Parts: sequence; C-alpha cells; structure tokens
Amino acid sequence: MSLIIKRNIPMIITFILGLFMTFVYFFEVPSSITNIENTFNGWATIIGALVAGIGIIVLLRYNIRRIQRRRGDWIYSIITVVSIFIFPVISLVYGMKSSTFNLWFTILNRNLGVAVYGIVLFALTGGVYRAFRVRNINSFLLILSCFLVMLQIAPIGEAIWSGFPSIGNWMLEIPNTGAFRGLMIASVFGTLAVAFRTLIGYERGYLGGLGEEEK
Amino acid sequence: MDLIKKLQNIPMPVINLIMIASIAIPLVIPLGLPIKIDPMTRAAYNTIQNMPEGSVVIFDYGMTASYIIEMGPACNSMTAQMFEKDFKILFFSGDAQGPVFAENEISPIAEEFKKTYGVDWVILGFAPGGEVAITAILADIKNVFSEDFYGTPIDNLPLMEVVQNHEQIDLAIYTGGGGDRLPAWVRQANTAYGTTVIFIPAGGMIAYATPYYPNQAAGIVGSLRGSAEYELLTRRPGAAISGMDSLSLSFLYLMFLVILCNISVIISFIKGGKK
Repeated sequence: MSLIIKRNIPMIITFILGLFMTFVYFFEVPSSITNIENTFNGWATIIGALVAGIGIIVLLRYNIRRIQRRRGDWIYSIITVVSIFIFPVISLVYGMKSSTFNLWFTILNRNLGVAVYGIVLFALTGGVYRAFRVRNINSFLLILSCFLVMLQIAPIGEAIWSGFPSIGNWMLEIPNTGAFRGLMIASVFGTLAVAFRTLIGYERGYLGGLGEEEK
Repeated sequence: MDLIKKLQNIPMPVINLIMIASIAIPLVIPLGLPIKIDPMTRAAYNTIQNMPEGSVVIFDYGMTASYIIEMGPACNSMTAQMFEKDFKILFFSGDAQGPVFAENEISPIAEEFKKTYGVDWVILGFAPGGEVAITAILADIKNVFSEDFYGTPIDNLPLMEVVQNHEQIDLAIYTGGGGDRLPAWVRQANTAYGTTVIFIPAGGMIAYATPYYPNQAAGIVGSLRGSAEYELLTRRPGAAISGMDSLSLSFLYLMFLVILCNISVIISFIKGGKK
C-alpha cells in the first residue's frame, strides 16, 4: 500500500476534520453545518462501539490461545471465556428484562464485583501497616494531610474536635483546588500542543503500523 | 524495644480481623455519630429544590459494581427528590453495566412515586465513545440512540417527543469514577451550552471535582459521606447513613495502624536521638 494511502490521506482527513470540529465548537455556524458536525459525532460513537467489540475479540483470542497452549493459569482463561459468553446467551435466550438475566447479573457481576472491590480494603490495610513510614518531611506532610482529610470525611472527626471538618474542607478547597487547577491548566496547554502537532502532521502515532522511515 | 518490635510485626490475619470487626460491629451496634452536611452537597440539593417542577434531567449513570455501594444511595436519593418534583429523567451510561444498574436501582423508586416509564423516565442505554458520545447526545439524542435500553424505538416514547437535545435539558448529572468524564461534562454541557451540572463522584475523584465547584459544577455529592448527607437531606435514611459509623471506626483504625507503623520513628523523635 503506497505511502499516500497509508500516511498522507489519513493526515489530510485528520487536518480537515480537526479544523472543522474546532471551528464549529468555537463559532456560531448555520444549522446545516451543525448537522454535519452531529453526523460526525454520531460516526465517532459508532466507532467507539466497534472498538469495544474489537477489545472483546482481542481478549477472546488471547485467552483461547492460553487455553490451547495450557500456558500459566489457563484455568482462569476458561472462566474468562465462559464469562464473556454467559450474558449474551442469557439475554438472547431469556431476554434482558427477564428475572433470569437479573439474577445472574446480581450474582456474577454485582455481588462478585462488590466483593472484589472490598478485597482492596485488605490490601490497603496491609500496605498502611507495612509501608506508610515517615522517612522525611514530605512523607510526614503527606500522612498528616491524609489524617486531616480522613477526619473531615468520617463523622468521628467532628466528634473528637469540631475543628477537624473545617481544616479538612480548607485543604480540599484551597491547596487542593489551587494545585489541581494549576495541573489542569498545564495539561490543557500540553493537550493543545499535541492537538496542534497532530493537526499539522507532526504527531503521527495515531497512524499505527507505519515503520519509522515511513513516518 | 521488644514490645515495639512485636507491635510492628503483628500477623496480617490479626490486622485484617480487627479491620473486619471495626466495620462489622458498628453495623450491629450503631454509634449514632452526627453527620454535618457539606456545603457542596447542600448546594446540589438546593439546586434541584430550586428548579421548577417538570424540569428535564439527563443522568449519566456510570455505575459499576465497584461504585454502587458508594454512590448508589446518593443517586437513589437524588432520583427520589427529582421524581417528587415531577422531573423528567433520561438515564444513559458510558459504561456497559450502567443501564442494567439503572434498571435495578431506579425501577423501585419510579414505582414508589408512580412514575411511568417512557413518560416520566427513560433508560436510553449504553453510549460508548467517551466525550464524543456526550457531545453527540447533547447535540441530538436520536443521532446516538434509535432505541432505548429495552429495544423500544425512541420515537415511540412520549418523553422523547419533547426532549431532542440540549435545548430541552435543564440539568446534567454525572456519577461514576471516570476522571476524564468529569471535565468532559464541564466542557460539553456547562461551557458549550450553559447547562447546570451536578457531580456524584467516587471518593478518589472528589479532589478532582472540587476545583469545578461552584462555577462549573453546581454541586458535588462525593462518595459514601456525600451519599449519607444526601440521604439526610432528602429524609430517606438508608445504607449510606448506616455505613458512616463503620467508616469512622475503620478510618480511626487505619490512622492507628499508621502510628503503629511509625512508632519507632515517634519514639526517637521524642527522645531526640538518632533514628
């Protein structure tokens, strides 16, 4: 496939569409042009759905290969493959509004998911007990701010001393907000730079399978 | 020093058992600690209370199994408050699990308030694509959803005859743990169209959401604490309030573990000697 098709045409499409979508976002345009923008947005949503489907295919391929080669914990790959097909089969046979689908969803997804999320608590407890050591002033300040925010969130903080919620709120509203706003502004400038470089063709990572010379 | 070594080498099963006890005991023997309402939670509540009856809300229900315990109570209380004011609510999700959770959680509340599906509330379904999906939905809902979650054509739903795009939407609510989605709603709803936005973020996202309050986000109801506060405000006590005592004891225990972990550092600091 020639470079024109692999590299130049995608870059031209990126430039034209990127410029168009940016222009429509910032300026008042006739409704006919807004309709074109809406169409492109709809296409992007469809592509998003396709990407989700591709993710499932990749996951299936990987796990089926592990089962075929009996590699590592391949038993869990069997569970993964079965899990991928359980809900589509149940919803096709019984329907998504059925009590069977609801039951399986509650058992497999909801209850198991909450249990796995709860296990994180034990990992956190172990980590806190073994690793939260004060080694310097920075780690001391980190632990102190953790304590203050925890005492702001938990009602027992106010029961111990009425000042804890105020201190915790101050930490969220002043230093945290200031730091995050600075981070956001910096990241926006970075995103703008990358977006501009992508539009003019300097960033070509999205082109995918091109060799270094072709890029 | 032997005692200090023993304290710093308690077996992990014992540590975990005490953690389980600190969570389980308050569920059986409540401490009844008072819960003060955070200004951001109250702002979210007041925003909805001050909106006229019959307002239209789009609810980005990014609920997963991980977040249902944390933010589920807040979402349920907020939905009840909105149904009480005859709001029309459109649910959708950027997560594939979201619509199923919406069905399970919202249907009983809708039944309680005698709300009719298709007229008072609708579950549109799963919309992949992140921020682009939000843009597309706010521009033209039918461009993204031709059917609702149950396969009913959108044109057959009475509510969707009235609501087509952002012009008919008075409030956008987002719940979930997605860090990218918070600013996406600010950019695409609040900045682009001036739509009021309320967030119900996960605990780890509260610090990320706070900078948007009060200019871009009208209110933030964060995590389990926010859920408990909202249950109090709407007078619908539930799982979040009952979990607050467990939260208190478990946090105290975690702080105690940190102190225990650093006990040798503390002693040397007090003695003024070397570490």
